[in-house]
Amino acid sequence: MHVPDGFLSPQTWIPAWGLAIGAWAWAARDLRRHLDEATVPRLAMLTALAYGLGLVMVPLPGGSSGHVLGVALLTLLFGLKPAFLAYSGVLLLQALLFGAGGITTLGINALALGLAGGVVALLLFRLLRPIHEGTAVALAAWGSVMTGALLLALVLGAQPLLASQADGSPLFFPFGWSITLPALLIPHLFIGLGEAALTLLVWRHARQRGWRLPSP
Amino acid sequence: MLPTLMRIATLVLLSLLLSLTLASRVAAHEIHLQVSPAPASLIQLQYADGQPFAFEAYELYPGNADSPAQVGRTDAQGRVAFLPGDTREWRLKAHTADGHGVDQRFQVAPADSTATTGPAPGLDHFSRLILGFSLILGGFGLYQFFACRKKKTRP
Repeated sequence: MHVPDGFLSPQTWIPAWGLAIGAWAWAARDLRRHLDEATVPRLAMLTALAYGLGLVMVPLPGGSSGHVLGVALLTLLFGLKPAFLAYSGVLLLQALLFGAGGITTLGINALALGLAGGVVALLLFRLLRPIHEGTAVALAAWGSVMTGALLLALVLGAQPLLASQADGSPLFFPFGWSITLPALLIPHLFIGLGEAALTLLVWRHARQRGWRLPSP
Repeated sequence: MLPTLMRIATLVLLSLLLSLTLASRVAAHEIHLQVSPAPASLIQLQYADGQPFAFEAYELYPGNADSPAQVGRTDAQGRVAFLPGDTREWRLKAHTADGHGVDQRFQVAPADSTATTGPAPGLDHFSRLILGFSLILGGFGLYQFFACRKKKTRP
């Protein structure tokens, strides 16, 4: 789901970089309040897990493939700000080392997957936790994946409208919303299920081990 | 008798001419296939975990051209074969509808006609994976060492 270089117009990725820099500064401002000697190794381990999982493409029904993210897991266990920074680092490494994603598109990928995905995960978790904690974790993970997919589908599908040649042919990503929305949302319905199962598994183990939840 | 023969001869001649005209038009719809060996370059596209970028759309541009010289879909192994000719610099755009793909410029070497695409060509897949894990764990280790506050202890 990482958007590579060359797919987005400068009208998209330059403002996204500006927003992302602001978001990274906001997230880093009081990072020390969220992390201590016990949580840093755990965050490192699960960030490494997110890095590895993001590189494994799982075949999906219909012939496409996708990968889980780990954003909800990081957000629910460590809080929105550390998770957003950690996942941004994951996206940077995947882009630099594997060409999965891109540098110009790092801002939009981080905002859509790391920040928006994390915010939705946190909101769904807090909303549903009083009803049933396990369901809340699973739906938070599923919702974070779908949010990232929806935002990236909207951004990708807008490219033919934002930048095209004189003859109308698109300069960057060529498909409109009628293609990008189903192409991203339908496979991510299944990816979200995998993300929910993984997040719930690790969440339960962490709770059994007595991990302290992040303060709101 | 003679005019009748002349009329028949004229009809036969006209029919022959019509047949020849139609035959040439029919032949214009025929596709001739010719197979010949030629020095081609091969591009291999694959996902980060090694899976082939199979049956996906691509566009291949020579130099800084606005129009592609070749369009199509990658094969089952995620490959694109093309004839670079004298053009050294190329640009490949390949994308799936769900936002995966590449947009990359590359050089075709004239002698062996091989080109390498993809980041960090000096390291193999496994080394890049390990490098990533090392950077994550090392980065957090440095944060722990220099910037992290001590764990809260219960009184």
